[in-house]
Amino acid sequence: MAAPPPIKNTIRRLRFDHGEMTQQALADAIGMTRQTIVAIEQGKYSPSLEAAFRISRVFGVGVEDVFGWEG
Amino acid sequence: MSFREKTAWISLFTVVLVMGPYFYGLIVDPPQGAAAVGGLIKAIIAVIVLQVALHIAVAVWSPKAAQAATDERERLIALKADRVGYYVLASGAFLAAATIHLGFGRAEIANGVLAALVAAEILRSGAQIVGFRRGV
Repeated sequence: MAAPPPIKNTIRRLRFDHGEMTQQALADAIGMTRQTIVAIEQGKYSPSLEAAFRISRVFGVGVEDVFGWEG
Repeated sequence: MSFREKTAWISLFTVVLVMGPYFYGLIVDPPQGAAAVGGLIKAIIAVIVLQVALHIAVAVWSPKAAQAATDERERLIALKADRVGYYVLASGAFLAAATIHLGFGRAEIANGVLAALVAAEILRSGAQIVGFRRGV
């Protein structure tokens, strides 16, 4: 089984800071499924660069404020 | 569970449900002549009808999810699963073709190719389900 990608993210906290935005609302905003948002939040899936930019735009922050290299 | 994962389960379930008994019957009591062709056609029609009916049922149950475009993670999972299915199908088809040198008839070779298709579909659906469960 492949190791999870060493990329951490702050999506959960950002959702909380944005009026407790639901995973479904974020998914709808960037054209993804809720299950994909769950996988990203849990660190099981690293999104494409385009998706990372879309997520950061939803929260009005830079990509580096959402994603970071772990370790 | 996402709509795509449900469709993968439907594919796996219908193929195992119909083709399992079909191949079991071939091994235990092989039909001859027209009965063999009839059984094959019935099995294929049964898979198609079951899959269409279950897909419609799932789409009616969650129409929004059914109409949503596939996202990048789902496409990646599908691509990985397709690769698994392709290797199984190619290997099985090659083995089925090779049986001609062992004196097998056309019906056996046809069923060998069908078995390769079934194995490829089972592993493709299984790989999709594993991908959805693991994240990718």
